[in-house]
Amino acid sequence: MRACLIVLLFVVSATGCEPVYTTWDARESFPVFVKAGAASPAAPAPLALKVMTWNVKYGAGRIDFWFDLWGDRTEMTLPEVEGNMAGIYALINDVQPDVLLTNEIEIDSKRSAYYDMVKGILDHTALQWAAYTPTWQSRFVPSEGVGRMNMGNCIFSRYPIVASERIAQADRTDQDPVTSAFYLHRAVGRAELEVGGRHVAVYTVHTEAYDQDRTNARQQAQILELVRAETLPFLLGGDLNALPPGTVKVADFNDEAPAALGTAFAQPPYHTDDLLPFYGELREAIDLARYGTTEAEQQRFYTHSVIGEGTIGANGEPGFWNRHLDYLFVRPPDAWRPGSTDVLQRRFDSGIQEEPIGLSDHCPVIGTWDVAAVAP
Amino acid sequence: MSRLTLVVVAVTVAGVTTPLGWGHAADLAPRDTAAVGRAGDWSLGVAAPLRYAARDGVELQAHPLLFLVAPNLLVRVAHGVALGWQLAGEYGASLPTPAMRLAQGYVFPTWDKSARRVGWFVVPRAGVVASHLGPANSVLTLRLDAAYGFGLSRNDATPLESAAPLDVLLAPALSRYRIRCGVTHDVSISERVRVRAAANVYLHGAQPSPITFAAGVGVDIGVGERSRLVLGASYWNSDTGAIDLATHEHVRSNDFFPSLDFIWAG
Repeated sequence: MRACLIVLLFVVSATGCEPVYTTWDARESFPVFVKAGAASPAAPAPLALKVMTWNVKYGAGRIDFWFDLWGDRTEMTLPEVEGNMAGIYALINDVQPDVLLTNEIEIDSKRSAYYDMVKGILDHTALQWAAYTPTWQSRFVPSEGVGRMNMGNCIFSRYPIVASERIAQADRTDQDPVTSAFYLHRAVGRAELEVGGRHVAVYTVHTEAYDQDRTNARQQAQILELVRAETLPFLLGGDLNALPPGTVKVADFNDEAPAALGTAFAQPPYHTDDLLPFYGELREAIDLARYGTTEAEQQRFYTHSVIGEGTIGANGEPGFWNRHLDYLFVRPPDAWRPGSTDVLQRRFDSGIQEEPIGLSDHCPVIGTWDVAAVAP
Repeated sequence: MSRLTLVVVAVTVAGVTTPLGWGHAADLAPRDTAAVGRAGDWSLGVAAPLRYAARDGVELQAHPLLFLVAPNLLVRVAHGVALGWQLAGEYGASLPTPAMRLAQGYVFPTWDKSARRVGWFVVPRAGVVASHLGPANSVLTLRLDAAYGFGLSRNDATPLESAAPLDVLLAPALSRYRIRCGVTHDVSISERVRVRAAANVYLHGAQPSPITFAAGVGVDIGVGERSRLVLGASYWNSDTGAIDLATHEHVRSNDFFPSLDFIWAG
């Protein structure tokens, strides 16, 4: 079967103008998208930016897709995507971030009805600039009818983005060549913002979820090296698919489908020490003291659940946020404004009117980034 | 034969112009014409279909490699000559569902947690071919045919929006219909070599656009008395949902496919 697939891919890729799957250089500049009529607002002094990170699950809301093993959907209708995205726009507008980091955002995928979510967010929110960097781009993914795919990370800003770059991350080594070619190629998106005459850097990351070879840890190490070399004040955020140090609940999650065990989509073990260097060198929006030391304390900061409240999970409980995977970091002397950071798990958290549990399998993390007057 | 081998064959079949007509003179005969063979004539390619003239003026045509997983049969009937044009009718049907179900897990979803499924279809097809003999043994052929996918059961499969030849092949099942309007010009440049150019316009259900253009060139090189080596290339312009990544504007896809076949004939 694999040999036949290789023949098919060779025939198509050798002859078509558009490659069947896409590869990238180690570092590549990418275009910045600007809303028509965009104008840079006045920046506060001292400089502070309200920021938000959110894995938006390609606008699928709580539709159970095949790889989560709770359902078998492979694509959505356009009205479904439009409906889900309307909720995402509403929540973004509730928060009114200056900078928004998104993971799993799609611009041209069959499964999301070719809906351009980058353009959608620019059109429906106060955000004006967008730096999109793809991590999964194939003309046709020959698996479960996935078809055309263009998914990635995006940095949105109310302030001008003057540069956008895609920095390739290490690929998994535990896949055969064909699977690897059509699989995600994780990347760091780096954007440079001009805010009130200053330049700041923003990094968006989304590291591996299903690796059995510690690719996730290698990608984290690479991210750490990148930000250590950064000369500008920076924000680092996204879905790291890793638990904070000291997390009490690390296995037997309610949202793990029993059918996933033994498949390519089984949850690999978490290593709670992986993120210690991040917490040691940077400041997280939810620091470890606030995160707590008991499951009861920590669950207030969980950001992810594969299933929503309408699904009874493996432990017989309805779905709800059950682990913390999404992060916002800044580097001292930059800091988080006291009282500004939150995990938006529920309606009315930090004043939002939307119910996040129905909008994605992740909920947003927010905070106000106080940018120090002098760069380190 | 594996499931994806069948997909490869399907793509190849769609990318290669169908062999039509065979000669009875010393010259290599043109293909893709309204000529219908005499009783007992036959031809068979690797990708080209098996053709057999059951009697004078009536041919049966089927793709043997696909037949077991996508039963198909086309009957070509000579309809005489009008105003200097030789006419033939083409009438057939196919049942693509078994092949589509074999491709589940790859180009179609498995759907193992719901009642979603690849439906049963029967795809009748009818068309007319008209050929006119021109100077220097050249043949101009016009073609119009249509196929419609009649659903016999629930279907949840959607158009693949992958590569134009495969999309066009499956269009009647996945987007209801396919209409082809085409022209082929076939010229003899020596006793054993013919060159040809063809252009086709396909109308079909939205996937996402309802129109696909195709053009191709090829050369047939005679081998033995009636067999031939067939080389060619085709260009396809279709809508596979692509966008220009610099502007996010919707664009059509342009693809080139080579073709190579050997057609035995007797």
